[in-house]
Order: sequence, then structure tokens, then C-alpha cells
Amino acid sequence: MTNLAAAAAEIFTPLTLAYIVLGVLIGYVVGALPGMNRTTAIAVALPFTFAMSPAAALSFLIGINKGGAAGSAVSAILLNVPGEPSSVVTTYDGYPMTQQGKAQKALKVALIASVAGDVLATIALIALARPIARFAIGLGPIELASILIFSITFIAAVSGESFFKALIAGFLGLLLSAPGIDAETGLPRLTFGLLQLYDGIPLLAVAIGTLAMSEILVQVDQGWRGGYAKRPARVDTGNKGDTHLSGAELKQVTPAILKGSLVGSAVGLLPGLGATLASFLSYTWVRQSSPRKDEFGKGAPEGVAASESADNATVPASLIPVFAIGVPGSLSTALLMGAFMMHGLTPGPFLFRESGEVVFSIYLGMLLASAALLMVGMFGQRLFSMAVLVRPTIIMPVIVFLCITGAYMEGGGMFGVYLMLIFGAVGYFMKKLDYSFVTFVVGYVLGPMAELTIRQSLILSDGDPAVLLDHPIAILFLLLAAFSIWRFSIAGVRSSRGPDQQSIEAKGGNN
Amino acid sequence: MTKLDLAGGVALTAFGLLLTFVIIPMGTEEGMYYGLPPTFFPTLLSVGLTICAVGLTVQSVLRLRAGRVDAASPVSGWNLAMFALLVALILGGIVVIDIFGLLIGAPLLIAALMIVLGDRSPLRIVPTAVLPVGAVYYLALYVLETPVP
Amino acid sequence: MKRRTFTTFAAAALSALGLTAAAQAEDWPTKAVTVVVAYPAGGGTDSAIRAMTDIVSQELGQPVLVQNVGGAGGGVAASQVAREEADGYTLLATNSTSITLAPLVQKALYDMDSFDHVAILGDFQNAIFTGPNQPYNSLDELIENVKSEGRPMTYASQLAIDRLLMHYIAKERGVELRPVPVNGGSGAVQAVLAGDVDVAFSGGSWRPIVAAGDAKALFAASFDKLKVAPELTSMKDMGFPFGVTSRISLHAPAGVPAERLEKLSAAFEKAVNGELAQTVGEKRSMDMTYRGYGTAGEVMQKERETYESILDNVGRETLTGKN
Repeated sequence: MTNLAAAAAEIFTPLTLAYIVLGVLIGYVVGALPGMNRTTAIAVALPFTFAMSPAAALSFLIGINKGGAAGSAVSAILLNVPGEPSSVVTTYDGYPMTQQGKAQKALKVALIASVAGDVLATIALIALARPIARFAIGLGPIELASILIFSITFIAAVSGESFFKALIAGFLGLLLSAPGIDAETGLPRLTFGLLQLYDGIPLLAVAIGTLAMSEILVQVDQGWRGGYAKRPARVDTGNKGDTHLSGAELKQVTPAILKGSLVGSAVGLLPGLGATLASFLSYTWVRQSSPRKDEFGKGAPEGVAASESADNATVPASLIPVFAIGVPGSLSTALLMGAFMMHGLTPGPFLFRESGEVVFSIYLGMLLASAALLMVGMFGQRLFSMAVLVRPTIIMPVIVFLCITGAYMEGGGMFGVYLMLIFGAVGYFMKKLDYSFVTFVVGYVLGPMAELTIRQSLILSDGDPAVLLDHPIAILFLLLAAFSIWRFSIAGVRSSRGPDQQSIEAKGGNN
Repeated sequence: MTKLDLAGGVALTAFGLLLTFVIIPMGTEEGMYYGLPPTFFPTLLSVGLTICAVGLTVQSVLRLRAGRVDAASPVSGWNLAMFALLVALILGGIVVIDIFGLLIGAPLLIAALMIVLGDRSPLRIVPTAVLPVGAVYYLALYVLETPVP
Repeated sequence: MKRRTFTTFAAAALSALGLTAAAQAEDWPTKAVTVVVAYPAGGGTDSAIRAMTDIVSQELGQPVLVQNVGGAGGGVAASQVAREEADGYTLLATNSTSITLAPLVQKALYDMDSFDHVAILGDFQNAIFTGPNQPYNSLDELIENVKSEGRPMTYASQLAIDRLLMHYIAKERGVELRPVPVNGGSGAVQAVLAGDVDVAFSGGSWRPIVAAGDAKALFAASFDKLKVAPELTSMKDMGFPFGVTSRISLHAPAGVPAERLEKLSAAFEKAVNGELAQTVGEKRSMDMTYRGYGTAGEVMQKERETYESILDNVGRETLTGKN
């Protein structure tokens, strides 16, 4: 309870509240812009949080994430262009509603679904993270090492059409974490005399380069071939029945929202699956269990609700493994984990013991962000409809500029900036040639921990594999890792999957 | 795509071998250790990388042999030229920022990028080039109190 | 005529010189002083320095800026400051081991004499601690326990200072040592509480954990007893000729005029003895005892000699590898 009071004192300051609202606002706008996604926004915004308190900084960044998940519905509904991959499914029913002149109604359904999914999953996070963490405290290095091996193989297995390429990306990401002072000898490794590399390859250079800069490079060469100045066909009947949401309609979409939140929370909890898969699964489930299946795809509000609630629910749910075990399962959570570490917090079971009040502050900040989401969504609708129309020729150069300043701010001078550009180029080719991004970034973030726990395990066990027999949890996760390799790669290659599902799964982890 | 995978597989195999046999042994100082040498983990990864790269190479060769229809390549010469131009432009901008500072370099970079992207209206270019730079400069120096170039 | 002109000129020149020197002593500093903290914001060194800046700035009559340059255990900041101009406007606040010990065990871009040692602002209260359920309560019992079970002694290995100390103790007491690498201070606490290792070294974070009953303090790592825990056995009590103490130290690039250093040193003396700095010291388990310009140099020199002796004792290759 003292924790709660301290947390409230920390969060309920005008400045922190302003940061949270600002975060949601930025996320909303970025989410609404087609081609810009929330991971880009988080990467670019991260360096600006150095001056904030840890709780404010994380609430701000999580706010961006939440806003992005909700904002992506705007362009999906108005333009038939998903603001992010996770809103592809929203276009199925959202755009038909716009064509029928019910754009305002669709936006309202999306907003309510987003906020509801968000709140429910935040509650799930608060309820689950601590018990899981308490359990995870008992896990030794051997268990942690096996959980990490499982996470990385599972992410590689589900995120990409080619398992080889996904694994290659994972190995490259892990290798990226190798330079720096060696934990055991205290001597530099693979730093080649560069003092800036003693603490490892700087996180922001990697994150901004691969997540933001590469995105711009890809966008530009797509745009160059014409066709990125799309204008919306926005029709509003002005009929009150078509713009407002009636109580009966609200009742009609409620089951869809609940189902979506459940699916989103469950999918978010698992590493590497991502919001895109969640919204797809939720949509399928809601459609199949609906008495009016035929309406779906022709402008059923339940479709929008199912997709958006699942999309938003993954955001808080994916934080559960980060808070409880210290293992991120997606790009945005990998970035958030980096943000934790930059602010001197180590995510994982000891987070609650060492920085309990910060965690409570972040919980409060997240709930406030949900409220901010509702407010921003209600009053900012017009703004976003306009933001969607800003020219890419204005947005992209400004983002390039923000990438440069962001990479500089981590310290180490211009070194980080040049490195950032290199990673931008690397990311460009990875995107173009379909090497899984998620595996790469998660591998990079988890690398040091994976190496440390594996080395600890070997030292403590004297390198004797028989020690494993005393660690059933470790055996379980290693078996799961082996199973995911078998199920998703070897067996997956043999049985040909439908093209629809394949493309969904290919993009599954991209949030 | 398959042809590109083949090229990627070959290049990555070479990179993996280079890492395993040259870069990692050269770049690591050996000290006293009790569990594993510092080179162990990177070597394990680079070997894993090499194996997967070989796998990818073999897989693409088999697919090409089987005569699978190759979808249109995602990277055309035109894309690459555009990519190279952009990277060169941004690199130039960074060098200018490095030498002359953010306040001179950044507006130039933004303006240049806008022109390359096809925007020709000075009414749009000038404010876009100046306002964000000023805002970030002010923010960094007076609010965040962190140095900017 | 000619001679006279010369004399006048010389006199004028001399007086001008004298004046400037006097003016310098009086007027310095004429602009803001930057303290480069070698660790990220929020750590012990950082919070101690930030608790002092107000008073220092009052004393100097100029603003004091704090810049955090983390990385390589203080190495990045130290090599940056070593290259700065020796005008007294740039200072380095760091852990003394990054100046005395680090250049001995790894290739560094600086050495001890790259700096003028302005002041020692406080001592960290280093101690060795263990898990609450371990059967031993002192070093002797630990050694006995390890020997009777015929296993190596394990410890959470973090930094050069704790590696050095543990190797030294193990060698002196004739037990085999097995370092388990961990991720910083929180990793060490984790490993000890989980019982993965016998002991760990801690800069001060052991106190709240021990007070909460989650761990036991075995002995102080310093030669003399610790100020915050006088009941704890020290290295001297156990018959060792050496102990290790890491300190918060303040440095300037070598070659700053002595009067400036004295002025800075005096300003920091007031600040260290100020209420704010002492409170921070109490909270963070640091003994904020001030030692000024001159004394600081001697303390640093002695610290260096201690490390050299211990290194000679355990063998340099234990920590430095084969370069």
C-alpha cells in the first residue's frame, strides 16, 4: 500500500500526466499514418526520455505503443490502408462501413474496442505479472538459459516463411551482442580498440537504424515508383443513425470485444506471435461464432471490434513476460526492455523486489494511458483524419533528421550516428529479402543474458549434462524449443499451408 | 527471390566463415576464465550462422533445380540505385552535421531529401527544414539538457 | 634613453604579468565548470555529485554542470577527460578504481598520472555478503565449509576489484576459486539470494538487504573497519596485510594550476560536509569523509600500491590475460 501511495505521487504530477497524453497522441498519429509504425515511433522517441523519471519515461513509451495500436484503425477505416499490419483485418469491415457513409460509427466502434481491449489486458498484466515473477525467482541460470533458447527458437519458427532465414537473422542479432567487455575475463572482446563498443554495440544505433531508418529507406523506394499520394474517399451521410453508436449496437459488439481481448491477451503473452495474428484469430473466431456470418466483410461493426480489441490487448499482455521473466517477445517490447535498462531497471523477477514502486507507477501510468486513449480518440478524430493526409515528402525527411539526433543522444558522439546509418542499410536489405526482423532485434536484446546464463549454467554444473535431470523446467523448455523447430519448420515445409494464413504468419511478429 | 536467397546464402556462408576463423579469434583477448573462453559464445553463434547459411544455399539450389517459378525480384536495379542515392545523401548530411553542427547541417539535409523525393514547393520545403530542427535543438539544450552536435 | 625605455617597458611588462596572475587567482572560474560523472544518472557517484553541485556552484560563483558519460566501468569518461584542456573547467567524478586499478589490468587510454587528483569525496562501504541460509558466518567458517566439502569456493564475479580481492583471499587461504560471472550488482544479489554462489562483493547495496534479513554480511573488504558497520570484521582483523576500498574521487586533466585545484578542492569540501551530501551518503551507504587536494593524491597513490602488491601476489596474468 505504501508502494501504491508512492506510485501515485510519482505519476500524478502535471508533467508526467502531460507526458502520458503526449505519448498516446504521438502513437495515435503515427499509428494512423500508413507506413509509419509504432516501433519506429518508440525507437525515435526513446532518446528523448533520458531526462524523464523511469516511470514517466516508460509510461510515455507504452503510451505511444497503445496509441499506435488504436490509431492504426483510422487509416484502415478511412482509406482502406492499414496504418499497421495489425489493422489489416480492420479494413475488412471498416472500409465497407466508410463506403456506406458510416465512417464515424466505425471509428467509434474501433475506439471503444481498442480502449476496452487495452484496459482488460492491462488488468491481466497487473494480475499475472507478479505471481509469475514470484515463481520465476526460483528459476536458476539453467532454467533461464532454457527459457531463452526456447523464446528465440519459437520466435524464429513463427516469424518468417523461411526458417533458415529467420534463424540466420537470430544468429546475426545474437552476434551483435557479442562485442563489449567480456563478463568473465573483464577484457574487451571484438571491440577492435573502439572505446564506444566497450559496453556493447549501442542499443539506440541498432534500434533506430533497423527499425526507423530502414523503414524510411524501404518506403522511399516504394514511393518513388509512384502512387503514395492517396486521397481518401470519405463519405459521410450526416445521418445521425449512421454516425452515432446506439445502445443496441454497443450491446451487439460487446461479445466481440470480450473475445478479442481474450485472444489478444493470450497471443500477446506468447513470444513472437504478435498483434497481426491476434487480430486475425480474433476476427475468425468472432465471425464463426456469429449468427450473422454473412454480414462480415460487408461492414459489420463486430468485425472492426474483434480486430481492434485484439490488436490493443496484445500491447499490455506482451509486457507480462518482460516484467515477470525479463524476456521480450516482440519488437516493441524488445525496445521497451532496452528502455528499462537505460533507466537503470532490470526487467525480470527481481524488478518487483528491487523497484516495486516503479512498477506500480508504470501500472498506474498504463491505466492513465488507457483513459488518455479514450480522450484523445474522442476529441482528436478530426486531427487524425487530417494527419493521414500529410505528405510523405514532409514526414520522411523529418524522421530521418529525428533518427540522426536520436542516435547522437545516447552518447559517444557521432559514432552512434554513423553506426545507425549502417544498421539502416542492413535493415533495408533484411526487409527487402525477408530476413525476420523480430528475431534479429530480440536476439540482440537477449544476447548478453543468453550468454551469461549459459556460461553460469556450465560453470555451476561443471559442464556435466546430467545436471539437467535435476531441472525439469529446463527440460520442458528445451523440449518445447525442439518441438517448435520441428513443428514450424520441418513439418511446416512438408505440409503446404494456405497462402492467406502464411502471409499472416509471416507478418505475425512484426509488432 | 530464390536467386537472391542463393546469393544471400553464399554471402552469409562466407561471412560466417570469416567470423569464425578470422574476426573472432583476432578480436578477442584471452584472459583467465573458468567456464568458457570469451570466444566460445561468438564462435558458437558464427558456426550456427554458417550452418544455416549453407542450409539456405542448398535449399535455394534445390528449388532452382526443381524449376520453381520465381516471383518478381523485390530488389530491382532501380531500387538499388534509389537506395544508394538516399544513403549517400544521408551520409553526406551526417558528415555536414559532424563538421558544421546540427543547425546548419540538418536543414540542408531535410531540404535536400525533400527535393529528391519530389517536393518542389519552397513554401513547404523551408518551414519543414527549419521548424523541426529549431524545435529539437531548443528541446535538447534547454529541456533535456543533453548535448546535440 | 634607450635603456630607460627598456626598463620602463620591462617594468610595465612585469607588472602586467603580475597583475594577470593575481587576476587569474581571483577571477577564476569565469565560466561554468563541468563535472563529468563516469556512470549513468541515478547511481551512487552520480547522486553524490548532484547533491553537491549547489554548494560548489555557490562557492565558485559559477554554475556547475553535470554530464553523465557512462561506459566501460568509467573508462569512457576517464579517457575523455584525460584529453580535455587542463584549465580546471572540466572535472571527472568517478570510482577511484577506474583510475588506480583499471590501467593496471586492461589496456586503457590513460594512466594515473594523466590526472591531477583534486579530492576524495567519500568511501564506498565494500563488504562480502552471502545468502541467509548458508551455514557459515565468517570467512574462516566459509573456508572450512568449502574445504570439508572438497569443492571450490564460488563467488559472483563483477568487476576487477572484486576479482582481485577474491583471488587474493583464495590464494592466501589455499582454496580453489570458481568465479561465476554475473550481470552487475543486481545480478550478484540475485545469485547470492538464490544460493547459486557462496559469496558476492558489494559496494554498499548489501546494507539494506542485510538489514531486511535477506542476506548476511560476512566481512568488510576494506583494511580498516567500515564506518557504517563497525561491528563487521575487517581484512586487518583477519590478519591480511591488505584490504580494498573503492572511493568517489574527483580528478582534473593533469597540469591544472595548483591554485585552481585548491579553490575547487575547498569548494567541494564545503559541499561534502553539507547536509544534502551527508544525507545521500547515509542513504546509499557511503562514508562521505572529505580529503582534499594533496591528501587525495597520497590516498590515490597508496591505493595504487595496494593493488600492485595484490596483483603481484596473485599473479598479474590472473586478471590481465596474456597481453
